[in-house]
Amino acid sequence: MKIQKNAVNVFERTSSYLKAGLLTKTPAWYDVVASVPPSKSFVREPRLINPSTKRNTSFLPEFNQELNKRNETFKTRANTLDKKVATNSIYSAPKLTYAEDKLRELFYKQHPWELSRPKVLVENTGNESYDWSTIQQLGKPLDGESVVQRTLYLMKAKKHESLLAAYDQARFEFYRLRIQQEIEDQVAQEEAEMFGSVFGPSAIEYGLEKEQKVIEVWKRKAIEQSELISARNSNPSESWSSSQSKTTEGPADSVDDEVLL
Amino acid sequence: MHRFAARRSIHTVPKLPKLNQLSLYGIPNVWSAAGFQIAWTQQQKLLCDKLTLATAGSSQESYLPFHLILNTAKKPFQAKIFNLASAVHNNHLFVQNILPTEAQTAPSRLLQSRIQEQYGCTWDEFKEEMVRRAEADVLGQGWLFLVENSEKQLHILTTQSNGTPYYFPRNQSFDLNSALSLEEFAQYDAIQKIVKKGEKIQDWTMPLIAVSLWDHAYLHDYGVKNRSQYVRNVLDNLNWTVVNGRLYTGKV
Amino acid sequence: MLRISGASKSFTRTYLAPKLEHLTKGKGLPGLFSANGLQTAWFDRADFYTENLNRFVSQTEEKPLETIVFENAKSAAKRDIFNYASLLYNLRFSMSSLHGCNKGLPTEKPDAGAPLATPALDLKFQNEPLETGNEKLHAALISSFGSIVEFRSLLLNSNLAISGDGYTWLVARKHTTLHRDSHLAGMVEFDNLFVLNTYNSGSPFNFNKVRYMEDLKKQLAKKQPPIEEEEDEESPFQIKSIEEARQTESYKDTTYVPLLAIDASPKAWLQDYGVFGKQDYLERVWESIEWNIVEQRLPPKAPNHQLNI
Repeated sequence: MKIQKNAVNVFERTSSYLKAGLLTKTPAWYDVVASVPPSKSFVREPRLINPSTKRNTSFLPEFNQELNKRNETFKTRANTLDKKVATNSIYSAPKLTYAEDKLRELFYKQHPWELSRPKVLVENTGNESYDWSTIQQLGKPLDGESVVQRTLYLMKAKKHESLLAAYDQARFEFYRLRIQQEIEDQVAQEEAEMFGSVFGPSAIEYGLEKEQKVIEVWKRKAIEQSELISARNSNPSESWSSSQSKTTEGPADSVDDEVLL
Repeated sequence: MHRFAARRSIHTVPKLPKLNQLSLYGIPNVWSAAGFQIAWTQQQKLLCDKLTLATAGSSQESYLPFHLILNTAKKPFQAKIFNLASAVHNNHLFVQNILPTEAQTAPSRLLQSRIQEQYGCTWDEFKEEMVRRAEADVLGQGWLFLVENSEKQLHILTTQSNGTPYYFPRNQSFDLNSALSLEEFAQYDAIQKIVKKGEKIQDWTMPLIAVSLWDHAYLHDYGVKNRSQYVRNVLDNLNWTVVNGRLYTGKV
Repeated sequence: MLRISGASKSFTRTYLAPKLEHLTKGKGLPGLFSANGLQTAWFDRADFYTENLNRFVSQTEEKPLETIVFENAKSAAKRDIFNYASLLYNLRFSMSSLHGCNKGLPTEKPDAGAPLATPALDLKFQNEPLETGNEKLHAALISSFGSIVEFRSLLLNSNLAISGDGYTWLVARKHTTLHRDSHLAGMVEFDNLFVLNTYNSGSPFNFNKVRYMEDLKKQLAKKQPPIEEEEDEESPFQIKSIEEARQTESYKDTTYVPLLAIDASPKAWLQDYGVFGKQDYLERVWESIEWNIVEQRLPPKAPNHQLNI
């Protein structure tokens, strides 16, 4: 198959068009592509070593191994079987695995509510480097990522033999800080109230207020209905059956007992 | 080329003019060098760090302390952030108005006439009243302010712990740990009613003079018993250029 | 604590600064306070509070501090008396159970990195109640808080979180017994231990402040002319507001017996531990607690209240 070069040659083509006067205006992307030209290397290089695991993906046979002992010839071209093995493992992109991912998964599985904390996704400067010899970092919130990074630090610093032991240490440090934070929040609120701070209605009070409104409507309706029933009951000319049919349609029947208590 | 001066979410101690001199000699007639170190350099560093820890990674991380005060004042569950932001802001306000000056400064004629008009006394008499109020109102930690409200009237305001002058439901002027007088309770009750209504509260009070009544500010240089002496020293050595500048000078 | 001076014809009584046997001027408290630190944390403050108390208290009264605190808690006119009496009581109470530890004094004040430090994960601490032979107290703590680690972390963190002045208390809740006999015998029993904070001059004896805010509201309503306002009539369906509930329900029949107090004021720790050192101070306070004194204050546990004693 002929290699398609149209896309990568776009800069050269546009340059010649400009020179020839076919194009009068320089495209907006022109300078950018000039400074960062697309790669023109079309050869797919076999990756024999997976960069994340540092293990061999496949072995290319040594030259001597290709000797056909029967007719004393060397194999110079790969047959279909060889090709199949090569494309399967050598040319496919290696799967990248990180220990962090496993730790993150474990942490958030064990602490699902940690995911409910609000998180800012906009990055600061991009290159944030922290010294994880302490779990708290200035400028970084204490969260699951702190536990993960602290675990990795503990492993690298050889404080623990197993990953789980390191993770447990980081996790317990995290718990102690969370306990501290929660008590601080509670005490700060109590202290502020004792010094005469006035806060607006809390979520609970807001809920109570809503509930109160519903109760009031219900109360008005209930009184109306029960008055109606007692009026009917005291009036013998009213037919018994019609009052029966009235009470079954609304909540009045059950309400009536409570209100008249 | 544009560079980020400071990372978004980190609160740092503001740099004072002539910091070297202040660290070497303190503030004459107010603090020794060690006293300055405790009340400003260390205390402000601690507050800034704690505020950074408390806000990092939240939507509040890029706010200035002043905005954090207003933002968190209504939220009881963020009282901790409020405390820190208010302390950071008040302490900066306070140190600014006692920075030593080269030449002698004095209260502006406008300020003096305003005090005369409203209270019928001179600044020196008014000062004694401020010292008295600090002693009578604030039992533990707190702040003493001279504030100017939206009607451009001057008031002495004392706040407990980390109260702020900018938003009256969080002034923290009442100490509910001991009994309240009926007038105080009437005020407290009125504030509660206003807040309960849920309308937007507009409080345009601005502080002119701030004095820290925290132990960090006087314990080292004055000892437990002499807080009033310290308050007097502060009020005698104010940087009037700063204070006069805070006073509203337009038409009333 | 009281001295009667007969210099003038009328007797005048003044309160003397309280003294504690284990604290001497010019000496520190081993492992907790230097001589200077103790001077600030105890002697100067005790003097200062006593001076102020004498300034406000009327000279013919002769009452222990607890009585003053109890009687004046609701009176705004006697607020100063209450404040200084309560501060003095709290301070004395907190110092009475601090007896120092075997460690040397901290040689260096903690630096700015201290608040960022990683918490230690110890599960066993120096000077635990069981270690000092206070089994009764240990059992009570375990049944109330679960474990000593939980208790310690609650106690110290509660104190650490106080930003201004205040005390963290370990209190025993008095058991409201239905047996008339034990009432008459004056026997106090407790059912559970709690950790609570008081701020400024707040007192753990809160029992006489129940409905205090309500009373003030009534007084205020009397004073003010009735405002034309469609007053929502008391209906049984009206849900109580949280504030109301807190005022009327929460302290109803609850009284506490204080067992232990920890001072949060910078006056206690600023001198020896520096601006960044509150956590260090608290850790040393834990090691300096004399659990025998705490246990002596513990009333007998109410029988059958909880079986897991």
